[in-house]
Formats: sequence, structure tokens, C-alpha cells
Amino acid sequence: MNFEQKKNVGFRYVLDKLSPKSGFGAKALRYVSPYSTKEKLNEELKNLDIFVDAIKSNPNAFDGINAILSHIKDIDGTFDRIGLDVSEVELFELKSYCSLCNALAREITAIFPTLCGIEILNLDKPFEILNLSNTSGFFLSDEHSQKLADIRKEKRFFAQKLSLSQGEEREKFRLLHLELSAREEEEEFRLRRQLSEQLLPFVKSMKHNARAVARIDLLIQKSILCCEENGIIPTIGSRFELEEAFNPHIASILKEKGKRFYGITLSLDGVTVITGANMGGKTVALKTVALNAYCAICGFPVFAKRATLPFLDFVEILSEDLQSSERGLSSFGGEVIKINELFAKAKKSKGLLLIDEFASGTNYEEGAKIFSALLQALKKTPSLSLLTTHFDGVCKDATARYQIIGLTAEAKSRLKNQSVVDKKNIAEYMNYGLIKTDKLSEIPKDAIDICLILGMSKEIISLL
Amino acid sequence: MDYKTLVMIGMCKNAGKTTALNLLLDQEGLAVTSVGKDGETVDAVTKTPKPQIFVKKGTLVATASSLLSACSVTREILVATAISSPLGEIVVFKCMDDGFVELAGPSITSQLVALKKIFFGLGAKKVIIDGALSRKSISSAKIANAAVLSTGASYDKNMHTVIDDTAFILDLYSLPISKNSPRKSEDLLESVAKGKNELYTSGALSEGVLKKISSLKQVNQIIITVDDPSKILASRETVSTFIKRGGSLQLLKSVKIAAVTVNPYSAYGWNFDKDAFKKEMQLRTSVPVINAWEEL
Repeated sequence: MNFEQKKNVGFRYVLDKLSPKSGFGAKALRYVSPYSTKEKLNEELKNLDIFVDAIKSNPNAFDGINAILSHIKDIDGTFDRIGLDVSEVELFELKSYCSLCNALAREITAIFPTLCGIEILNLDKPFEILNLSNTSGFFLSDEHSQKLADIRKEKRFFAQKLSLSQGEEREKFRLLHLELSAREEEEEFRLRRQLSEQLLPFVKSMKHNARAVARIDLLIQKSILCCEENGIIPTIGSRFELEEAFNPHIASILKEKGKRFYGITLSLDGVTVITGANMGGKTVALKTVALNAYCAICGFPVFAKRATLPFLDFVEILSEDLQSSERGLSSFGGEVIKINELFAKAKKSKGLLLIDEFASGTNYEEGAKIFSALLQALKKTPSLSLLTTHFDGVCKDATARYQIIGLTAEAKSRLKNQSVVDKKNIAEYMNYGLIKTDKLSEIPKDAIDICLILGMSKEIISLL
Repeated sequence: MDYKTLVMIGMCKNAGKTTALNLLLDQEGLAVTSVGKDGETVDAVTKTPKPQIFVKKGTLVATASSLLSACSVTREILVATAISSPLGEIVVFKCMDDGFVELAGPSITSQLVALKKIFFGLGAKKVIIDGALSRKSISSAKIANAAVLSTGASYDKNMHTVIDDTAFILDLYSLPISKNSPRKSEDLLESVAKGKNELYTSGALSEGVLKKISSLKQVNQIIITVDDPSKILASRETVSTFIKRGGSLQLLKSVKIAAVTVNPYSAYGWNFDKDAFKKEMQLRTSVPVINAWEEL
């Protein structure tokens, strides 16, 4: 999924809920992507489970860790300069980093004796290299070299002289003091280079820890997200089953408007089709499946009552409102170009393809034919597909078909009683949930009912 | 002087701010920084050699990382503040001996407030902030509770102009503090047009606006409140016309001017009579007037 698609399905909304404390965590958040192996994904989800348990039993469980994380800056650039000339500020940052990592390791093991695949390596040795002065900051003490001690002694002498003198004499001492300061700087430069070289063997451990810091930081944030947004940890299995899945982004928009989100329950196998009238919530269902599947493969919590998914190499969505108009094609033209790309991907590995109203932009007769052909072709790929359509009679080759529940019994009874519904509340009479339906049955025609409910002019209705 | 945070303000460049600062640096538990970058070793415009800041062992200093090597003191880096500046990240270090430092601190009020917190957290007893010119946008009242105002011959050839304008700035700093908390800022002229007399702006009080208000009939009933003296941008003439006609100016917050330093030597070739300058300045204020050059 590209940036626009992630935004559209609500994944950006999910990402924006996270506020990592460390520099490395913030950076890692920018590069969140699907896990490359099932083992790594399972490891992450197992850890997430442990973190969620911890925060559920104690909301302040991570206060100590967060306090340490907030002091860890992104110093990747400094890691890369180790062995070369590094400034005193960089050495200070490295020293702080080593001590923060050690503190983090202590804090983590106190809370979580076992975490899968996350280990914070001990950085005592590089810390000692940088702490010859045994001070809280970074200081090249006289112990580093006799030459440095000698220069400083002389420099102090002239500083004292100059502070006690005036005029030309003061100027003479000032210049001598500055000259010694330059020599001190030269010697410090040599010593910093020496320290930098001594740190070389530890670069690997430091970088390893940076990744661990980022992971822990994001795990904490993801566990908070999981609790705040009623998420769960998905199970990676062989089937694809979602029970009452929701999309927090869309749900939040609906909530603002005082509307509810209908949970989506479905299982996917081969090619699944969702049918329903226009304004029937098919796209919402698709985006909800897309978001949850993408969250799962990125090691995030999913938003559902229960969720089992197979390990997926990718989740891709093709939807009219996600088309880029950059290519200057019509929406149908754009779809055709894009479908080749996605089809090739679906053949190569096992992923999830979500396609919204394919070929709906063209004429009904040909559109339905093209749709059927795509459905049959997708069925032969190892990937799972979920397609929406309002074409009739195109589902016979599908593995399964779902229908948007649509107008509720209450709405229908009102219809019988000829009572007109308040237009603003049409959504209240719609159930956007899914129901499994016979593949061959006709798509229920709600459009005329909707016209009736909304009180369309009798002069028009009478001509229907 | 009794203060926790002192800000050094100058009437102009070469007013002797650094010389005055150097007088104050011989104290225990001191932390220093500046508002942005001020002191070059030679004034870039006039080529006058500028005094360097000489600090004592144990002083805490905050400056931009790229200026560290220009500091002659031996230092222990204590905090990398993550406050960025054009000259690099602002870094706090402790001086391990006596020597010169080049200051380039944060230039945003909120960053200076954050830095102050770091200083006090590190055990500083007093913080001195160098660098603001009296009319610069930085709000000295938000960052300090006392100030030293430096004035000097570099401000103007005419000694009386220097004294008058300095006295004006002192007057602004000693304007009464507003007793009631004013309503959220509005457009001043609009409020006046609506017949309001008690005005408050969180922005600047400009020359044009104050002139217009001064020309109104009801000026003698008008009270204008501004955040602090740095927000009054109107000229001495306009402010005095406003006051003479019965208008009042108030501040939400001010900083106490603890001392005025006078520099009789200008960077442009003319000098004042040092005794007359000091004496006449002292006649205009109850705040102690010091000739920093004599004290050295």
C-alpha cells in the first residue's frame, strides 16, 4: 500500500495514535511495513501480547521505561562516524546512550523476564571507555594524557595572570592563554580520535540496541493503542476469519456524526465477493478488512472481537477513490493498468487483494463480463481476494459471497405503513453488517425502497 | 544584586553589555547563556574589537555546539538540549577552569525558559542571560526577574539624546503592573471605536496605533495594558504625548532594572565626558548607575 492508500483505509490514523518516546522509535514509526517472515511476525505479536497484559494489569507499567526512552535520541549518524573524528558532544551522546541502554535493560528485565528476540546488549565496556573522568557528563580529564595535563596547567596559569592584569600586559597573557587553548584543543582532538577508535568494536552492539529500543518503544505504543481502541492480538493461522471487525478511523468519523459502526464478520477463502446496492457500505467493509489485515501483517493489534489470519506477504487495495489521476486515464483505464500490477503480485506470493467495484465505470454488460473474468483468474492464484460489486449474476465462480444486510426490518415495516423516514436518519434504517448469501441469488434491490423511504415524489414513483 | 535570573539588555550595539556582564561573572553557582548570537570578537559593522566573556571555573554555560571549539575554557559536556540554532544544537557544559566563552543561546522565549529549567536542575543558583537589545522581540519579563540596562556613547553623538532615550526605556520598565487580568487581546482601534477605555493587546503597541489613540478626545480615560515593556514599539515622543494627554500605560509583567551601566566610549570615534555622563544619567533614575570601565 502506498501513502495515500494507507491514509484512505485508516492505517495512517492508527499510526498517528502512536507517540514513540525515543528518537529511534519515532524513526521506526516512519518505516512500519509488513513482516517478511511468519516467525518474525509471530514473535512480534507474542511480545505485543505480553505488553498488552502488562499494561492491562497496571496502567503505569511502562512509566519507568518511557522515562528512559524519552532521553534516547536518534544518533545513527554518530554511530556511523565512530572510528573517525567525533566531536565532544557526540562522545557525550554516546556515553549517555550507553548508560541509558544499560538502565533500559535493567528496567525491561525487571518487568519482562522473557521477551522474544529482543535483547539489549550490555554496553558497560564502551561506557567505561567514555567515563575515564568518572563524571556525569563527558569530560576529557587530565588522566587521558600527560601532555593534556601539562598544557592545561600552563593555560590555567595564564588565565589567572590575565584576570589580574590590565592593558597591554593583559593582552599579552590573553594571547598566550588562547595559544595554549589551541594546543589543548589539538591534543583533545587526538584523544577524541583515539576514543573513537576504541569504540569501534562496540558499534555493532550499539546499533543492535538502537533497533531493540525502537521495538520496545513501538511495542509500548502499540499496546496502549490496543487498549484504547479496543484492539486484540490476531492469531496467525491457516484460515482468514474476522469477527465483528471495525475500522477505528471510520468509526470515529461516524461517532462524530452520532452514528454507529456495524461490525464486519466474514471469512475469506479463494475469491470472496461482497454484493450490495450503492450507498450500502461495501467500501467500508472492504476498507475494514484491508486495515485489519494490514495491521496484522505489520505486527499491530487488529480491531475486532476475534481475528485469525494466514501469514500474508502483502495487502493491496484497488478502489476508485484511491486511484491516482496522475496517469491521465479515466477511472476505468486506471483500474485496468493497476490490475495487471496487482494480478502479477497475487500470482507470485500469497497476499490479500481487495478490489472495490471493478469495472463499474464502464457499461453494465461488458463490465459484468470483465468482472467475472477477473474473478476466475484470481481464483487460480495463491492469494486471497475480496471483491465488491453491484453487478448481478457474476458470483457463481466465487468461493463465497456476502451481502450487505441493508434495510432493516423496522425500515421495511415503516415502508409498509407508508410512513416517511426523516432523510437525515436514513443510516439508522440501514444495517451495514455482512451476511453470507447464496452465490446464485439475485442482488436485493434496495434502491426503490430507499426512494420510497426518503419520500421521493409520487409523480416519479408512479412511473417506475 | 538580588535575583535568580538576570538579563543583560543594551540600548544599542557597543553599549558595553559584555563589559557589564564580565563584572557579574565572578560568582559561585552561576549559569550563563545568551539570546541568540551576539558577540563577535570584532564588531562586524564597525570593526571595533569587542570584549570577550571571561567565566570562572564551575560556571555552567549554554552555547551552540559549533562554538565549543571557540571557547578557551576546558569543559565537561553536561546536556545536549535538543534545542537547535543556526549554529548547531544548544549544549550545556561546566567550565573546568577559567577562560573565555563564545555565547550563542536560544533565540525563542520558550526555549530560554526551558534552558533556565535545565540550568536550575543542574544546581545553578543564578542565571544570567546576555544579548537582548531593549527593543528586541524577546520578552525579557518572561525569562528574567531582573535586568541590567547598558547604555553608551555608541547610541548617539548627543549625550542628552542618549540619556533621554535611556530614561525613556527605564520609564517603560517601571510602568505600573496591571492589577486585574485583562480580557483576551483585541484590535485596539476597534475597541476604542466601540467606546472601550480599558484596552489590552497581547501583541505590540505600534507607533501608528498609539498616535491615533493619543489624538482621541477621550484619551484621558484610556488605559492600555501590554504584556511587557518589549511590546511597546511606539517612540518616546508618542508615548509622552499619550501620557501627557492623560492616557495610561500598564504592563502585565515587568522585569526590575537592577542597574544601569554607562559606556562613555563609542565605537564610532566620539566619546563623552565620563563623569558628566554618569552623573546626569544618575539624576534621571533611582537605579544605581555604574561605569563598568571604572569598575574593571
